[in-house]
Amino acid sequence: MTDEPRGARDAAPSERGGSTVLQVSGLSVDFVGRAQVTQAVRSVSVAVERGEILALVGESGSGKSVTAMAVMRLLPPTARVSGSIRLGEIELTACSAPEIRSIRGSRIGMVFQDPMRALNPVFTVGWQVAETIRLHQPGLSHAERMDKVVDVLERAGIPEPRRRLEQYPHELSGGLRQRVMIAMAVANEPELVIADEATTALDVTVQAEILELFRELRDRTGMAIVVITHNMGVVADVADRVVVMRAGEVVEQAPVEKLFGRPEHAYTQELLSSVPRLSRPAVGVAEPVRGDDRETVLDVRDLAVDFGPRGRRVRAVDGVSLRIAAGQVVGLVGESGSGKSTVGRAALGLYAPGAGTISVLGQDLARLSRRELQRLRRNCALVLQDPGSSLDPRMTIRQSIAEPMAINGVGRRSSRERRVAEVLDMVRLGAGFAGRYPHELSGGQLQRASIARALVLEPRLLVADEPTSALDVSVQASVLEVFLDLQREIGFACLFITHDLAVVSMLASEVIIMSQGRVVEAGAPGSVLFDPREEYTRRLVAAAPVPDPVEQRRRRHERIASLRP
Amino acid sequence: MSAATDSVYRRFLRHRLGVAGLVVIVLLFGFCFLGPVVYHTNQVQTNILAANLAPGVQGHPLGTTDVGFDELGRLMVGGRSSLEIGLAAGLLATAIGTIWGSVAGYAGGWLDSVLMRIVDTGIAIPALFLLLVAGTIVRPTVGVLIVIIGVVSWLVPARLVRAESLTLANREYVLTMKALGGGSARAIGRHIVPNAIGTVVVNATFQVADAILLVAYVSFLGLGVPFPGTDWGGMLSNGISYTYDGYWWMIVPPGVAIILVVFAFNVIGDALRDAFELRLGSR
Repeated sequence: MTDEPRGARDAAPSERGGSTVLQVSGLSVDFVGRAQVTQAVRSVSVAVERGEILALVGESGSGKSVTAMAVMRLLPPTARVSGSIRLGEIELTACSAPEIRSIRGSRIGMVFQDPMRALNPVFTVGWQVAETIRLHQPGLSHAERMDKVVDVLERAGIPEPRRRLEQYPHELSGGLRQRVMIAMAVANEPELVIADEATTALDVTVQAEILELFRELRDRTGMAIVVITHNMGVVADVADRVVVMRAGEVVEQAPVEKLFGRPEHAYTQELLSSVPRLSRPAVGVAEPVRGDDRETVLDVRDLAVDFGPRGRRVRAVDGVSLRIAAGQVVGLVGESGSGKSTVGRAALGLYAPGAGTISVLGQDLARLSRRELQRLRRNCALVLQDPGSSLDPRMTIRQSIAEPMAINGVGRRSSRERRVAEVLDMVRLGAGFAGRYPHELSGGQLQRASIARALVLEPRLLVADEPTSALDVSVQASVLEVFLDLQREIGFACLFITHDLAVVSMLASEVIIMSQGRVVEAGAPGSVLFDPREEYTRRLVAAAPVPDPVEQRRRRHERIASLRP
Repeated sequence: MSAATDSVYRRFLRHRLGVAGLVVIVLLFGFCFLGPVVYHTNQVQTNILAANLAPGVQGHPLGTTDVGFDELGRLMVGGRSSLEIGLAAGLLATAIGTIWGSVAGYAGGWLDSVLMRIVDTGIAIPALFLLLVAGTIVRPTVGVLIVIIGVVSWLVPARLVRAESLTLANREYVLTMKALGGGSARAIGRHIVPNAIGTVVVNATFQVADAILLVAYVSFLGLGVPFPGTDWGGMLSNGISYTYDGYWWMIVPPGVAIILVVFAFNVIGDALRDAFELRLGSR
């Protein structure tokens, strides 16, 4: 068993010129639990050519990451793998542990989603990149190795690589950290790089740069790159060929233009149609409802919020003003750290403002006693991003949804139960979910339950903070639809916080763009998103990838051209 | 709630060692509290004529003590105080610690600092020292020992619960509840303590085991339940004087009893920890 791969490796250099880098055939992965066996991947066959960027697309639970982990042989011991995975001439499934270690990092590189967790915080960047080189090229002297590190960091597009050697991960921005991860992955010039959701945790402008780096590296070295993602925009931007997976199976493989242009499988079609697109709002809906004739529900003026201990205060939000009328949805857009969530929470009085005023339904929050503030909040609701932690795991859905009524002493037991059943129907879950616990629900169902809880007292003001960002696209589409219907029906004022421009264009009548705690631009979505006045907004809009390879290519060239002075 | 408690119960029963621990505890309780009903002995008047008898002699299955008490009967009486003190003091410590820690973790800021500095100070003073000082000031009875042990041992659970409460306080469901107008009492009572319940209950079992040991230490040092009452630690202390005379029956039975009860509470704690993981193994 050990003889075969070793012999095969000797033969490998001559084969490296061959065009297929990775050949996965009939791969199945089962996870053997105490009680049952879960099939995570079912007879998947995929080939990756030299110089190709292959996108492995699917929603959560589709088996895309498990497939990649199987290639790296990084699955937990409970996994049972069958089928064949060939890297060049080497059968990876037959390799011994030392053999696979010598392949990982030298012939296959891997980039993970979260660069903060994948980098070790106690070592310098230089040391960590050097380590991968030391592991696979032990003969080099320290100076040679450091030269190589500088060279690799430079190739990964990191400015001032010499200075970075002595820096620690926390001193770098998210984008730079991900570039360091990529530098580590390509340090030994692998023939294959696997990027598992490598841009998911990044802001769109940074994402665009990282994707650009992938293309550059491919063009320069001819390496094959497997990009695992759930984001169709990323696929359209970077991929040559796409493999769509669902429930452990490959449902469709096609070149990118064909897949987006003429998707064959029904699931692919559904997936593509549920991706929110940046669309110019239809006339009529879009007319900026300034709402002067309607009651002002939320009025924020010159808001500033500070965090941190006295003496070292950091201003997270500075000089933000916004106004929402009854029935109006205002979209608050920004990248991470822009202060958008802080504004949302301050609007409900959860953070005390450092300066400025917030009034809800005409009442200045700063002037209210704690009692009065709690009473005012009866008219407010909050929906947050993480479906896993927005409902108390020890309460049934019924208890969670009834909680606002219990807090405010509304109704009796029987009337509360009736109301819970009613709102569960409104969010299209059905009263049958009332007795279940959160862990028995999927992400989309949990988010609907959160919306149901928010609406149970018919609030006048709803703050929705990235309510669909953690959901799969098809689920996101249905949750947004429910949300929009209810908004129209109940007519609450809504501050919708998101980083997704496409989602905002779907539902807001006014958009506010925030960056670094300040409002950059505000106005009707038709003008802000399609005819931005500010440089920052222009860059933000240009960086968001659209799920259409042809259109995306055009946008990319435009963006790159605009960045060149 | 009933569905959740139900499944905790079912998952506990699946844990074999935990069930064994529970059986041991039930048997020990039966032995100590029901035993004297069927096995009558005189545990008040000393009898020098029957002192230091070996097991089996004159109808004493486990022999007699240095003042002529029947060892088996004494084991029951002593166990009663050990179990009473251990259980009550353990629960008292857990209750104080849970409230203290959850308030500190939820409130944060200066209140958290003040509350936790008090805990830090308390932990810096050895519990045994406090117990001995208290034992010389007041005459120790079962009730007094419960209060004293409870009051010196709530510090560790307070720290544990505070750490838990610190993360739970930032959970989105707590934030959402606040945005809906809920107050601190609801946040702590409805969300934080119930979600920390796994930690609390598991720690409570360890706390009971620790309290039983603590009673044993204190009695061993001669400040336990006063004569003619006793507890397992006191019996052990008494027996130690006769080690060189070969009177093993005065040492082994209470020693074994202490080990058994502490071990049993510990495995119950482990089993409960697994059972409280709501996401594990349900469905």
